[in-house]
Amino acid sequence: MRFTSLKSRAVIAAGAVLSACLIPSVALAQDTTPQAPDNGGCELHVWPAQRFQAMTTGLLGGGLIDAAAHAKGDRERKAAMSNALDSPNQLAALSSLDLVALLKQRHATIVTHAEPLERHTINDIKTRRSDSKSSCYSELFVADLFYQKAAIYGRSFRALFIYREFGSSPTATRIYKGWGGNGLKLFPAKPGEDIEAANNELVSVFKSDFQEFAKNEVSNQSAKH
Amino acid sequence: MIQNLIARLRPLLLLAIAGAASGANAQLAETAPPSRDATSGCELHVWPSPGLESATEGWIRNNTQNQTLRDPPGKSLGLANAIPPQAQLDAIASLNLVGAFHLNDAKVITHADPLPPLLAGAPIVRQSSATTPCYAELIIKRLVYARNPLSGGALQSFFVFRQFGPTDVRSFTSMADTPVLSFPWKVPEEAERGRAELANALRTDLLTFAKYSNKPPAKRR
Repeated sequence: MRFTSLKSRAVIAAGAVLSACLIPSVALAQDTTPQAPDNGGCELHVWPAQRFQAMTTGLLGGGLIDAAAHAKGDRERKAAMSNALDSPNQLAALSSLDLVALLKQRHATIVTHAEPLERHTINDIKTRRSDSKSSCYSELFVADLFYQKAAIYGRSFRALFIYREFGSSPTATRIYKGWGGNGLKLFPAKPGEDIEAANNELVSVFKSDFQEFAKNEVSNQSAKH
Repeated sequence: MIQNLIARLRPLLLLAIAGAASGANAQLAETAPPSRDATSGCELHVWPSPGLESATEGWIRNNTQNQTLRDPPGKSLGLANAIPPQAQLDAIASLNLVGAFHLNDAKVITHADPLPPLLAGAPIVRQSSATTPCYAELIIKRLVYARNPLSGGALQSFFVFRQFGPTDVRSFTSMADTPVLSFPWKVPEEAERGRAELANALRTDLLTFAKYSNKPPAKRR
């Protein structure tokens, strides 16, 4: 698996360094200069999320009074979530995974984009979102990141991913959209506490969410064939 | 007789030794880096964040990141540039950071440029080239204008404080928030009041964070 820099050299370099520290078994090319893909021309382009949401429901089970009771807390949690999983951290987390193997793709060059796409355009625009002319092209979007706390089920963190395959076509030939979700124990940290452990947990759960999504995506792909 | 002579000359000898030592100290102080504090050599390095971000929600729809900071059509409000790095450093310049973080006689050194993003799990290393053994860092990691229609708006500030000892590092990362009412401003004439309120909120957040960092660590849940 190779990482090539297009729009986000600094982010990729940082992500690659972190990945090399954390996942030494993943072979990474830490080149920071753009270069032609050499994995049969295949490319997987990755974009981080632009939309975060936090929702807490208490024993009232939702509604305006419940929302008002948790409004300040949800405001803080949303910002805390966007701090722990900002675009560089989302890309670094995904880059530390073997995306190609998890999605059961052929070898592909991973191209990360530092800036998220406008959220509402992700569903509307079905054509390629990069300038790539690759004949074996695919895209992965982190669409939504959602923290939820429910009175009975506790805290969880869900991520919506969208995977699109193009082959050599300018428009998507296959789209798979799905959530991955897992429980939380540390996030969010209590006010005044160190938030580092909670942040690390959120990043770890984000990776687990993607692994769950990838598993479902592969199952869906196998079921169609 | 010789012993008597030594005893008589002892005060003079001691004065001579003390003089030589102070001369050497003076020479050391001259050759030390200009940023080094002459008394203790302690340094507190401070970095600003790249600027303001937003994480807001509307009454009907959830907003995307930084949506609030965009100028409305036909208006130039400059919301995205409401508190740039230099304005952050100016805002906290009046604070007694050394006292707030219980650093004895440390010299405060501000860096004009923000640091690159700090990635989760990355090793903790000094962010400056300073080699002084008594060294601490305060990083304004992120400034987020957060708003929920039911709770109002606030400046939510994320900070990192790191104190480097001879063999270990104490690192504390946390956040504090202060309600703001004058942001986002609707017309350019209100910009000054909005900026002043953000600067004040940043000061309050930083002092709150300093209190958090001085508390003993809480027990794990």
